[in-house]
Amino acid sequence: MRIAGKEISKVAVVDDDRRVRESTAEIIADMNLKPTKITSVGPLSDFVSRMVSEFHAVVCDHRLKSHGYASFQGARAFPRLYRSYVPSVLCTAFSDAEPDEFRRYRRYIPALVTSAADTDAIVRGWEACIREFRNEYSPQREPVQTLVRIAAVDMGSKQRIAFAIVPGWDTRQVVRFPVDIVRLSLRRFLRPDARFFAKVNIGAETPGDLYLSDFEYRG
Amino acid sequence: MIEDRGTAGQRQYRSTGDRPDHYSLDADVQAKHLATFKFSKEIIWRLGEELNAGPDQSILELVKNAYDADASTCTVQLTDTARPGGDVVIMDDGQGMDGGEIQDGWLVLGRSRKDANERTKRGRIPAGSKGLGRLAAMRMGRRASLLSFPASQPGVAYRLDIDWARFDSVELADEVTLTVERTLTGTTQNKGTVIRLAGLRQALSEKEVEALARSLILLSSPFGPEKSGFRPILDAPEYGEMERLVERGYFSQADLRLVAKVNKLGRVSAKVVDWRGHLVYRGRHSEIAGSDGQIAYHCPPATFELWMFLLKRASFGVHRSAPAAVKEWLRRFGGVHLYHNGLRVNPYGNSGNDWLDMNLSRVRSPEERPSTNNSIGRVMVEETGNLLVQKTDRSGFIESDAFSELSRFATDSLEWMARLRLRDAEKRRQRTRAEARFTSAKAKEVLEAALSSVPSGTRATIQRSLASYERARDSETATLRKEVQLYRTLSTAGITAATFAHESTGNPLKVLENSINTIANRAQSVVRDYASVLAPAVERAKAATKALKVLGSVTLSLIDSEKRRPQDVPVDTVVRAVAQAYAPFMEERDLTLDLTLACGDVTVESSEAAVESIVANLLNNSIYWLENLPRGKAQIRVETKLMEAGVELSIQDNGPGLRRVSPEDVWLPGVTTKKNGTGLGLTIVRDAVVDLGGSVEARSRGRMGGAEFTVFLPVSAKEVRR
Repeated sequence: MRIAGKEISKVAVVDDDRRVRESTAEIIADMNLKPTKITSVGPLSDFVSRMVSEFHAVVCDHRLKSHGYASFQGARAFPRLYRSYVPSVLCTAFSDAEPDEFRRYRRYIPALVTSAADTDAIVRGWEACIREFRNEYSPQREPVQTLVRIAAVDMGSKQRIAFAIVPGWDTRQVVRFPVDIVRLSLRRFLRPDARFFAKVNIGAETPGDLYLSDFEYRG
Repeated sequence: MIEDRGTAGQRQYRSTGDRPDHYSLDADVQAKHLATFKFSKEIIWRLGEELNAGPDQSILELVKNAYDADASTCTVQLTDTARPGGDVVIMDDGQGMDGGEIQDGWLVLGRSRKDANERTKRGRIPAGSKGLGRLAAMRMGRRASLLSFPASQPGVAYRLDIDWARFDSVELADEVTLTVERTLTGTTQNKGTVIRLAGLRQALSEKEVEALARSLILLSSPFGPEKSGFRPILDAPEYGEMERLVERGYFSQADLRLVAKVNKLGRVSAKVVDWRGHLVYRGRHSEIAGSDGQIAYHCPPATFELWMFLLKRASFGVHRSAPAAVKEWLRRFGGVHLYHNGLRVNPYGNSGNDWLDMNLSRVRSPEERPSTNNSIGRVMVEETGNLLVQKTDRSGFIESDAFSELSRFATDSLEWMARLRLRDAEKRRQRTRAEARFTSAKAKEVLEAALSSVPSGTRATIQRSLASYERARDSETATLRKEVQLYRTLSTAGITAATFAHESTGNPLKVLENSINTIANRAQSVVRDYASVLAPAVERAKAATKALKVLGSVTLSLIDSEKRRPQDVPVDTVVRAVAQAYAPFMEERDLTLDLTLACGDVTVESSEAAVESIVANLLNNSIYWLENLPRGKAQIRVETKLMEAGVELSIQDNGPGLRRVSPEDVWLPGVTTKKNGTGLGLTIVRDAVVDLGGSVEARSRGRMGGAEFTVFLPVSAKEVRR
């Protein structure tokens, strides 16, 4: 299959549940592609190296840790897969969703699909990845330098969270994000009403699609 | 430099695959330019500033250098730092550096001078600073100077001065030459290093000085019986007070102390002792590691100690100091600190950093769990294998497998202790319950004995009154018992629904969805008349799977723990979210939901869960009563209005209205006219609203003909200020 000028044939199917792996692999096979069910994942760096060297594309579940299948969750692999130019879609059901984890890595997850049965969404996802590798963004994913106004900061737990309004995206909706996506030297400025500039895909259609990166403090 | 190879050659670029920026060059080489990377001065500024986690952390990097140099003390002096232009001096009595070590080590950025596999003479494992934090510190002043007295060359000193202004007139960092001067000191007594950061660019605020004092005190684990041989000192008034506070050490007054150890095989053992040192619990690997009992922890050997303080006034007896003093001490130093090879790693255990999720666990299950406010602890790790690697910006460890295993070890130890404490608390509760019955019977005996001494006429009157009181009390108790039972039943139903929802929306539904798709795909090529024979059944199965997915996700969205966090909640946003979640039900029942929301982003001080339970229970109520209306006729309207000091939320429908119950009684627990109704939905609404300082009102016949419920919620303090 040729997607956005790139030949895709060998596809890795990554899921900690054998039955989901098998049923997803059947779907991929019906797309005239060659699926490989990844039965053991190993450390993240080995996993990414294998994906880069052996496969053209990846379909990866988010929850991978059960029964010791992997030591990391799927979303965490995406920055490395993205930087290694491996088109990948994160396939996750509502019950698996971890909004903060997704926000943290969303910049590197061009496509998040809720069902592997939606083959069109998978192909669109891979295509979005390939185009982004060439700096061709869809309007929903294009990063734009924009104002981010902090509404509240919750430092009370391990996962420290900030809440902000991104007026360029929605003047009313509060967006939640993990504090550690902000550069360490700027975190001390995170307080209500502080203004930052960040790269945000202000064309995002839902809060879950939104990413924020490259924060700059503007007082 | 250019090496000429004669005639011009032909250049060919070959693409490596479809990665546009990867090219290789095939060429007949004509000339060679010997080149090196050069760095603009801005890169130094940027590195220094972007990796600066605050002045306290930058200065701490210089203090860590003193630790690596085997110093026993390191003093930080602050002079006039309350305004720009002040000085910071860092002095240690370590091994010092000679000219070569300054040139090839101290001035080299991005590489550690020390080998973490080799211990120092004092047996320390070097922290191995890469020099970036040092750069951030050196840039704090307009000038920096280093004076070092190497122990290897008694009577000799080396001096280096850096005037950052000299970099202003150059483009590249290496255009500025730095000189290391060698001088004779005239005495052989000195050893160590003095660093002076002169002319601070920014003043140090009180908060920053306090943070520095705290970081210095905690740097080499000042608590517990064994202290390290390294003492950092801050020459500032804040420090003395804080040092006294930490040295006062309330450790011996802790109610409980947990000590858990993981050995090099990844096996864990733990014990808990009380304030007298008596053993309370002891646990083995299989008991602590829970369901993963057979699995070892893949982290370096470590010890986790936690001192817990119940902070109940009643428990502060002879052996205890005033709770206020302990609370203040915990406020300053509480939390679980992490020590790697003897030095504390920032930010674990800082105020607001709860890396073991102690507070979150306590929120989820408050009983018998420590929090960062009532405990202090440390995780001590010693390793030379570099399994734990700190991030370049010194914001903690890289989230490696080893680090998550270390966190798992500490978290599992806490869980183990919480399980045992909960078990004991439950035993205590059962005992109290049994004792209460006995005490009540005993009290009755005493009362009857007292009554027998009362004159017979009066006695009969009192006995009648008493009997009447007992009947009323028994009736109240019975009602309460029924209510508790009802809540238990509902909680069980909720937990079971959530468990099933989680299971079903996870893997089973994925498999079902994928397999139906595959069956449909493959059947099309093997089954004749697929469209008439199989397609309708496949489509029905697909639709049912979709409906199941929605059911599961709505159930799960209601129990999202994040929603229980107190915050300013925009009412309209919650109403929209609930409406969206209910949309599939509305569609299924052919029911119209009209939203007329006029509060914008106005918030109430609440939790999303509380507002959601108000909206969801009112909607559930309307949906039930609209069930018997003809398809397409049922309507619900949700309206929000901004009032003077609050938000008015009303839910109206065109159902039968309130029947056989008054608008006042409809809120009472257990009052229901529904078949199999619990009578709790509207009570939950009322209780949630009252908790938020609001009020409720019901009308039998509202504006749409059916029941109408109105809720008033006061706006948050933020809105009042606005």
